Amino acid sequence: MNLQVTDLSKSFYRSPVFHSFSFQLESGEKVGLLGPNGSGKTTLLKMISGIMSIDSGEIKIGENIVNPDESAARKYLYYLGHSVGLYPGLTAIENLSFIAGLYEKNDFSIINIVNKVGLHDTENKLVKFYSQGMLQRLKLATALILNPDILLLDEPLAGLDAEGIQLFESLYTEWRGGGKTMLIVSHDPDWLSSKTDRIIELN
Amino acid sequence: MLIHLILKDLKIEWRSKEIITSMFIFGLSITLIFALAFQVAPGLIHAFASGLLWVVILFTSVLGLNRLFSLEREEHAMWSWTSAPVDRGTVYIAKVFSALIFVLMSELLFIVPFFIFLNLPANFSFFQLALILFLGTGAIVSVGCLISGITLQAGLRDVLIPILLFPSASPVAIAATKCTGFLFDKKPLADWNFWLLILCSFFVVFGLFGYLVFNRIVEE
Amino acid sequence: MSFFNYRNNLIHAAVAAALATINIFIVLTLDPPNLAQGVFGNIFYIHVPVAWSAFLLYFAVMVCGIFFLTKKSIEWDHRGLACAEVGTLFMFLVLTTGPIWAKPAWGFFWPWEPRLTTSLVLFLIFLGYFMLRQFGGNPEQVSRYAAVVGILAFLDVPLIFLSVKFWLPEMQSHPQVGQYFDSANPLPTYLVIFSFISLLVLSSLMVRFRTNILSMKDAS
Repeated sequence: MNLQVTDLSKSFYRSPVFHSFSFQLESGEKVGLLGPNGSGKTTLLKMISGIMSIDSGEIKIGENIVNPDESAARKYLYYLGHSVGLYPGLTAIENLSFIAGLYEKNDFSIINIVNKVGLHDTENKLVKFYSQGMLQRLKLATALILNPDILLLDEPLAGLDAEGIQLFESLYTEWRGGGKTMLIVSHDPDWLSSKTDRIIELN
Repeated sequence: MLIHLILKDLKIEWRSKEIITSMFIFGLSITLIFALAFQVAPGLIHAFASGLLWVVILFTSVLGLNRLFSLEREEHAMWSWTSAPVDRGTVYIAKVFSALIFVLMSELLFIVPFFIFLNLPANFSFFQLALILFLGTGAIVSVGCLISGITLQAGLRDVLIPILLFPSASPVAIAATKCTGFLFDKKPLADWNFWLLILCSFFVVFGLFGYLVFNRIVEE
Repeated sequence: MSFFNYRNNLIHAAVAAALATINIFIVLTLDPPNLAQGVFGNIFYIHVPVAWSAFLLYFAVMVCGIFFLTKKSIEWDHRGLACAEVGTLFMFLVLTTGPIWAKPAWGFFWPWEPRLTTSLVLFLIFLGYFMLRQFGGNPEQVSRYAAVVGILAFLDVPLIFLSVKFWLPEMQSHPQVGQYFDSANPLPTYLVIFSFISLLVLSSLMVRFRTNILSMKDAS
């Protein structure tokens, strides 16, 4: 599934963050996003995922336009951001079931996935008691369940310990082998260039 | 999908019981203040009882709506459905039903103390009272959920919700008070079905409007 | 370039000034439609057309809101805000001239009469609208929220009016207003229509001027 961004414009407090910005991701391509703080990396991912509105322009996923009135485009992607995006008052399993239900996914085993990401002892704990690293693992579990065509990864290693980083690397290898399209944000240019086919620099 | 979304809210509330408990206690506190404030002229309470009941319901609804939508703000939990292939109008309808359930449950809890503290007779049809409570509360939460959605990411949201909700819900206050007043006076349903129609119309108009615009107001 | 450097705006301003001057002359010098009210009766020639203009401006806010949400052009947001500001100013005049007229006409300052009450409720909703504009967050989000509130406010108007109309049957719409539009003496009708036209020209000038300022502020 390819991703096409055409003439995208977005402002905050009347200051433009993006002005007629365009780029394209071919199906299976891995692209990195690099730039200083405030350059709009997270903003771009949030606009592609539908969390944030756009002022003008178009974002297309395959033939589907990302649009508040239509939800079709959003089923092909998953945004793994550095905000939590989960309900603190639900357990890990309840959060996973809830999100899976939103995407109408039921062809998975929650227990297997929870074991795979190393949360087997804490799956019935409320998410509000999770550490940063555990939350990141839970978000990786969500990505495994949803198995989207396009992954939007916003600093995927944030909060992960050495084991967690290893987990991400093994998942990344799986996704790469599976031909997933990925847009990855990171502040580490060396790590990013090792993981992606090309890098877009925002300023 | 609608049931799935409602069950999520119910599950969180079942575990914490935060929304219903706080609405019930707040409702009791307001009832206490009314009982004290009107004690100098006990006969007056019977004339104002229907209005007082809806003042309590309106104030406790604001509390409930604020808490219900705060669940979505905490840790940006709402990103789970804003980025999902879910019709956001359906999310609004789910919120309306969740809010309706929570407010109705708190009403069930504080209505008995309300009648006891204000020494009100209860010789009327409970089915008709339930109907009025259902439609009146539904009308309040239909516009309330829309306003809570608008103020979800706003500063001063605790203040903005009542400031926008109370004038917008004035037809509900009038119609619900009229229905309840007629019920307490044991008037037949035919005398006050016009006011039930106002409540239904309000519920439908704002429910439909909320369904159509909710997708535009939840984006960042 | 300043707004009044353009010829058509100068002409608009000149026509508005001329009509307003004639209007003031009429209001101050002609006999009131009800001689028993003395000079206060002349408020009729201000109060009614200002009320019509205010409602028309609030209707325009709703239209601008719909266009903003569908076309996403910031110009519609500026027009909506300008109409809301001028409309709220006019509504404030309605709410002040109403009681000044009501006291000699009916003997008390505030009649809970449907049109005046609807005006009060709309005024309160728009005070909330301005608070939302001020404290709602970043301007891009606030424009969407304000558009929705502007639509919500006007959708509420028929429900508010109907509720208040049947709420106090003894307080029907201004009985004297109906009497003044009496075909036997058409002069008050003509004067009110003239006054309304003059206010339309003035309010449209104010809205265009304010829209221009908002656009220039945005561009800088």
